[in-house]
Amino acid sequence: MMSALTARISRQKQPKPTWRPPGASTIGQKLAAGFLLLVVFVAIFAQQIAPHDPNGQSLARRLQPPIWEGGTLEFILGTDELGRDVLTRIMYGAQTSISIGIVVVLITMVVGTTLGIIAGYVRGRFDTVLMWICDVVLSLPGLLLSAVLVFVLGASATTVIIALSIEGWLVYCRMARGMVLTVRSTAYIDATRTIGTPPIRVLVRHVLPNIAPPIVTLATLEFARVVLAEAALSFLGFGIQPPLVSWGLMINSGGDYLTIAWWLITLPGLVLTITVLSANVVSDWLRQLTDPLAQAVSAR
Amino acid sequence: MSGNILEVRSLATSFATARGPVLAVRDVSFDIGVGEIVGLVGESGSGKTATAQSVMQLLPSHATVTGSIQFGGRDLAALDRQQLRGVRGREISMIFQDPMTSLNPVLTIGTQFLDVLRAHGTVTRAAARSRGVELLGLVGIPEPALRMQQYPHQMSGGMRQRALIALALANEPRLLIADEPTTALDVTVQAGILRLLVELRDRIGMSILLVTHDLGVVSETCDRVLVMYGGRLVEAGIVRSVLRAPRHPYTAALLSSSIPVDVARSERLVTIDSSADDLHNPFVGCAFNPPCSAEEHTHD
Amino acid sequence: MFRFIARRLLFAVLVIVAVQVIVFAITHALGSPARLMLPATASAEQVALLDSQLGYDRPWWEQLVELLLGSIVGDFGTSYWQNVPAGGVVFSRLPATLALVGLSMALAIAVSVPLGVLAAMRRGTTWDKTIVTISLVGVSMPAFWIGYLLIILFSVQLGWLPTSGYGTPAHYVLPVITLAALPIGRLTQIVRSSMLGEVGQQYMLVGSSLGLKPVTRIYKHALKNASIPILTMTGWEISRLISGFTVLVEVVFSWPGIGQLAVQAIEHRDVPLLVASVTVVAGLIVVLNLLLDVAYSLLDPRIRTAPTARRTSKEKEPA
Repeated sequence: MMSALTARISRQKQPKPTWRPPGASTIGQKLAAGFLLLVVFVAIFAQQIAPHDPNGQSLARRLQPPIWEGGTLEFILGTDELGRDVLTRIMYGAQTSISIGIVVVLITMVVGTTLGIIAGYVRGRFDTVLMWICDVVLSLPGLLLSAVLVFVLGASATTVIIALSIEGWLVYCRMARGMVLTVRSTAYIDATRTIGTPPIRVLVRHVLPNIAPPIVTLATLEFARVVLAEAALSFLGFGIQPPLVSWGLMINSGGDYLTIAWWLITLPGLVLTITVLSANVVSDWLRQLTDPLAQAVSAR
Repeated sequence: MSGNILEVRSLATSFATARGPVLAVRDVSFDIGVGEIVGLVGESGSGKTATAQSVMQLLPSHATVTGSIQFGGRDLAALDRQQLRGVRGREISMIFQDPMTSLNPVLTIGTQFLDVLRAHGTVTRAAARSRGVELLGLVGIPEPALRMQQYPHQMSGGMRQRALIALALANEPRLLIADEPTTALDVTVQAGILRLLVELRDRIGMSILLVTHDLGVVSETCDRVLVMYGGRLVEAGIVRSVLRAPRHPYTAALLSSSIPVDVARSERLVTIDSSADDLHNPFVGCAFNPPCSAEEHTHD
Repeated sequence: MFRFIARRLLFAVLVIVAVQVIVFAITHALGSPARLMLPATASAEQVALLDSQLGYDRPWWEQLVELLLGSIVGDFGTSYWQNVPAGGVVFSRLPATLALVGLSMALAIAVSVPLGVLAAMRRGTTWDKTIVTISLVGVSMPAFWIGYLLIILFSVQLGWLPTSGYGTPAHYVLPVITLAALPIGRLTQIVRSSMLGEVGQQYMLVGSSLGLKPVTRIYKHALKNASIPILTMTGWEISRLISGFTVLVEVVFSWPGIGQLAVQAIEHRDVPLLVASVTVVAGLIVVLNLLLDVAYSLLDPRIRTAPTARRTSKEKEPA
């Protein structure tokens, strides 16, 4: 009787589960990760692999279109208003944008997380004040204030990093503090306190491993945001200045030639978008991998 | 004419999970007569809730239900979505375990009545309101007109459960499935709810399938009882006879493990030496197999 | 509920004060603002002269207080560049920005809510995956790039719409779409995840068991609940985005709004005007957030009506 039933059930069309086993990734996610690696590679080795000098001007060959619109193989993505090779500039732009992104993310992650952990541990007035600061500053117009700061200090890569870092650490602080509070209130932490484990050990053994995945996930998301923010600042003229190259800057100068040289805007913007998109996708992927709740949900 | 309002034959329910199908309900058959209160008893994991929800076809999409569920001349298992919606809340209703989360928190009780009544027919707001007041009064809620304007969070747990019963009764169903309706409530409140259910059966002749893990509840309110273990029905019969002379070793064990009032402090409590079966590897044969202490027994 | 609103109001005021303090601090950080305003070649006397003309040689607390009090009535001093009261210039530009932001947000809501609900209801299907992808792309595209792309496509290639400027309804189309792009992306994600959160709730199962109509369950029951987290998440994020993105969109389309004004003020080194425009932008954000807070408190009856006092279950309850 039982086996007949089991047989009937297994013959019954099983509902198609809409889950992916946790840990498996889609092709989109793999592509995104791959693209990011590519961009980072280019950023590191721009000097070695770029075909031309990013600032090499030549009025004779200005505004050449990319190869599929009648351009030459030598300047495969065309040239800009000063005759500089677009592909080379995109590569050097990657160098600038990626390195600024990474530096800012590292600084903000370390500072923000540390402050957040302290706030979560110490509580009291420090915590209250810190959270108020976070709330207020997060409500401020970030782009404009960064622009003002860069303007006052003088535009350069360093000042851009400073400006972006000042508003960047807040999110880590919030998250780290929240996680510390959650972990603190779990029963097993109380148990460690009862046993007498020193706080540092609790911190390293219990708190940090719990905090690390969401912080790292947040960091990738922030990386995307910082790259966009730097591009925006440079676009407005309050960021990277020549002779350094930035994608935002390229789009800015390309704006004047929008009617006749669309590639000056489209191509750097495309690379920028795909980079940011890849970072967003990877961040989502990391969240899926590390968040146990998401894992359980994806198994349904 | 059989006088049965519900006839379930060979009901089997399996869930698709990451580790393969889980057979939660195996070959369960039972009847519920008109005006009968039938108790469905079992421990956690025995499959009683799955059974109850299978009757109403309320399971999530990764569940498969086979077998026949004859109700009012139709097989519920063969109905489509539209037809099922017509049955639910109208001919069969269900009340659930947790009254605190079962009501929509942002809508007034009155609105929820309106929705239920409008789901199965056209009513004016005024008519819905008066019907709602009438129903709330029927289930023993004082000041029903006031309650209609209130939100769930303004009512206590017991009152919410009564309101839910009222909603379930709004369209005068013939069968009410109550899945552990009192488990989440205070003992004193429990008694009131149970008394209400029996009263409803007496007054309007409604049949009730009462799912519970509490044999005391069964003995107080039910006419017949079905005992489930490991997804199977191991015993069925009139309450008095089952409780006095159980035929299945599990039922006997359940009965003897309930703590009598006069137990001496030094006596050891009787426990059932089993754990819920690993439903991934369904046991062929008696579900109670390893701990079965009787040499030979028969069961349905 | 009023206590809640009062708290939010206090917070709003704090933010505006903070903005002014910060801008003040930045512009005074490396010496007097006058130095910033004059070209680098200016002599020390010229700087000192301008300082005293504009009152920058007074003690800093005096300047700060005057700034804060003045902003309450809209007095931000005189614009150095345009030689008219800075407040007046800023407020004259306000309508253009408000129109742009208002229309963009309306468009964003109109598009995101149906998309987000659809994605949540059809979870795991192609619909869902497509919508999720679209929203990911939406949040990844820089506003200035989208703007230019749209211009290239619709103005230059197709000639349908003007490239920039302000005046006719046709001028609104591209800027509004551009500004709405990122909010659409983000809002769709938020709507989707909030709805997914509601769909699993017990009351939805109960509604199903009572045979409620699907439309009722989704829109009346689930969405109303979901709108609470949607609002709380949205206000915070979107208003920040608005401040940054509006500036970019106004620059790309030469839209005569406050964002463009702020950028021009910085370019022209006009400190009074700069302070005025940044403050008003912050004010906009704050007001937007306040409105959302009010909406949120109206929507959630648990805030509107305090729960009746916990009575002991033995007393009042009908047992």
